Amino acid sequence: MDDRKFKKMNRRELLKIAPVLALGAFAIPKLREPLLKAGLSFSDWSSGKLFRTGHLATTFAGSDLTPFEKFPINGYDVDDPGVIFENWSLTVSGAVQKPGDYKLSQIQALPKKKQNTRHICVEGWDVIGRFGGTPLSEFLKLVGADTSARFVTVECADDYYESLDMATALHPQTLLCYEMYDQPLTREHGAPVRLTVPTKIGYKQAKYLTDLKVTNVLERVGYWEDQGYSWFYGL
Amino acid sequence: MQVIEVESAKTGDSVQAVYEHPWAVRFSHWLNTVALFVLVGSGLQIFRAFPSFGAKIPQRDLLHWPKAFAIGGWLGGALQWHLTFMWIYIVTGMFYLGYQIFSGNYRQVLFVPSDVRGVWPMARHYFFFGPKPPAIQTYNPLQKLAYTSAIGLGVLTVATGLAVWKPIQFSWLAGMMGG
Repeated sequence: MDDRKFKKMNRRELLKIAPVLALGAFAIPKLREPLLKAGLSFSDWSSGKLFRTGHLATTFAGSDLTPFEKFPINGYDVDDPGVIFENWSLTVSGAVQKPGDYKLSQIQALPKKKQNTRHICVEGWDVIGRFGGTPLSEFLKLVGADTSARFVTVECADDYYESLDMATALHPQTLLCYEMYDQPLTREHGAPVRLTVPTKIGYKQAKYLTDLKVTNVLERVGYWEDQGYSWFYGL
Repeated sequence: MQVIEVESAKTGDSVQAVYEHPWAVRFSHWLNTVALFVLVGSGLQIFRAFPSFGAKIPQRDLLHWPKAFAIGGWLGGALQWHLTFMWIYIVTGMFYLGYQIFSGNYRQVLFVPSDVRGVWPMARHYFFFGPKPPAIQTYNPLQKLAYTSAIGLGVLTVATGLAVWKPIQFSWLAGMMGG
């Protein structure tokens, strides 16, 4: 066969797979960041679509529990931000009928739920803990939250902050948690009140809550998310 | 197989040139090569993140993978690479399967029950100096077995990834794989 013709054809065949070179955009630092951000956003978006309120996290028997002293304490800065319990209240704002400061006793007066669920860290470890508290949905009802709003955000005594999509906030296993292993929360585990969200990764489960807001706009997303981690991270 | 008519410069007769693999197959293989490289590299960086909590909860590393041979630099970065390239990997896989099905090309590469009896003669030829079985189809039974099981493994990589990423939404999948 004619060599020249064959070469020409080879070139044409090579050109046909040239679109693969588009992946080279990931090698260009200027393009890499927006591309990876888009990939992460798409993963978050599809995670939201995959989320089903009826899909419950597995609950475990008492014999499966990780012993309390083996439950890792994993704060990002201090283990104890020094909350003064006597003065503590949860400040509620945003799209709610009854904004204001809510005392621990008001939260504890709401229906109580205890569950043995798995706490999964993005770093790859997981433990099974016993958590007690009131479903966040009950608290949102108490404050008259507009549940058609998109987000529930929280702020913490140690400058940590987080945000949840409304569907997850209303999930029956999402708790305003004030007990672990049938005891009041210890300071290292987020006393007096923390979030327990067994349908999400560990870093979403903020400790030492001080503020809660119902909103349609996220001014900032979350402590780890704003450094590049996934926002939705539903399991 | 793609057959193209070309004109021979010497005789002016038309001759047939053959591309062993169609464009779609070469295209998706190259995409896959890149995607798998990134997924493995970032996966190893994610694996590296497993922490130690001191003597109380000791670290149990299966292997200590050097950072220089991982992609992403840190856990968050590796997750971004992983969660981006998994879509490229999945879409490429679906494109490839779609091509095979709609072009009918799959008949050449799909391992079917009638290929079973051809496996041993071919293996004997390759590994034990047995006689070469006559080539009666484009790909011999061992080649078809390799191509077909690669698809099975591809599906498995996506399934295991989904089970780890979404163990609650796909609890049936995670359960199938041991929880």
